[in-house]
This record gives sequence, structure tokens and C-alpha cells, in this order.
Amino acid sequence: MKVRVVHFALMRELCGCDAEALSLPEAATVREAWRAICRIHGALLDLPYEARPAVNRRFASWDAPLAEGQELCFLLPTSGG
Amino acid sequence: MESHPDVLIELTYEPIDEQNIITKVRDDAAGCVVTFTGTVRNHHGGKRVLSLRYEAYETMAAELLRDMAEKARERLGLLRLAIVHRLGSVAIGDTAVVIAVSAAHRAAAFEACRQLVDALKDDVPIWKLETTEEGSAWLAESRAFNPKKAGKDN
Repeated sequence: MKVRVVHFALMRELCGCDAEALSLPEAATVREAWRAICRIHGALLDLPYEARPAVNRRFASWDAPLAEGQELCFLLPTSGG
Repeated sequence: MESHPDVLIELTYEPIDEQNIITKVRDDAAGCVVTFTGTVRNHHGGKRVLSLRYEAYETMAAELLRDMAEKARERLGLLRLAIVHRLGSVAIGDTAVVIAVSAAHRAAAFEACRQLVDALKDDVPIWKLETTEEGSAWLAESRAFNPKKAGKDN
């Protein structure tokens, strides 16, 4: 299955793009998607923080199973306001 | 899902007109309007700040702000509320965010402003790129992110 991963701010800079398609086994979890992204963008392994995952624009757990076509985002620490 | 007409959420690349937002939350049943205005500071960590740029995951940020605002309205019995956040490049002294709340009584309105600005800073996907004389860096200010545990990479 394919999911779309969107990147913002530091995450966008570290990945060098604002979105990418990711091919994963059926029912792969959010954690498996993060590991796949880290294999593509090794710089992510050096981050001092854990990302917070969101699926279809809602915070999600690392163990949540993904489905075809979902929009995934790994948020790095925010600084709004 | 039908959005509540008494909740105004906006992410804008244009300068924020605070007075206009305050006017929009006024209500004949209200005894007060409490407003929080976040402004762009000229210093941070002892360094002179030259400029800031805000970037957001706009669709998620808008949905999350609306959800937070509607829950606060229900929980605290507010009348109307508005949350407007600036995006893009901003200058020192510019208004970065306005949270305006009307309520029958002041305690709920003060509490709503405090809770909403804390929740915005911790959870809403908005980032600021700060430029000082030493260079530019994305700031990490939310309290909702855990330091990575040694030997664990999720």
C-alpha cells in the first residue's frame, strides 16, 4: 500500500522535500512508516527529540495501523504562538 | 461536521487586525471580552532577533484549533471566540497571534485565553524559524515532545 508523508519546517529541510509517497506492507504501523522514512533520510536518527505522528491530520499512536492513501506527518517540536 | 458559527479560526499571511477580531467576538449576552495578543519579541536567549518566519501544517493546525476552541467553548460556557495566527515572514513587534473570547463573566474568559494559548503552543503544528545575528534556527518550544531515549529510535 502507499501512504503520503508530508513534511514541514525542520522536517522538510532534513528530508529535502515537502511530501513523498511511501510504499509499505499492508497494515504497516505508524512506527514502521517512521523507520522507513529514517532509512531514506538518515539525518533523522540524530534528532534529540521523538517526533509526534499524525494520521489524516490527527495525532496518532505509534502502533496505529495505516491504510492505503492516508496522509501521514511526523511533527518535530513546534513553536507556534 | 458542521462548524460552529461562533468560533472563528484563521491562519493568515496578512497582518492581523486585532480590533476587528475583538469586534467579531462581541456579544450582547457577554459581560466581557478577554484578548491574548502574542507579539514578536526582539530578543531571545540573550541574542538580538532580526526576523521570524512562521510555517504551519495548515490543514491540521486549522482543524486542531477549531476542535480546541469548540471544546473550550463547551467546557467553559463561552459565548464567542476567535483564534487568529499569522504565518509567513513577520517583523519585530508584529502581532503573531490573537485569541479573543467573550463570556458572561470574566473568570471563564480569562481561563479560556490561558488554556488556549498553552494548548496552541504545545500541540498545534506551527513552527517558527528565528533569525538572529548568529543565523537561523527552527525553534522547539512545545512541552509535548519527549527527548529521545538512548538506544531507541522508534
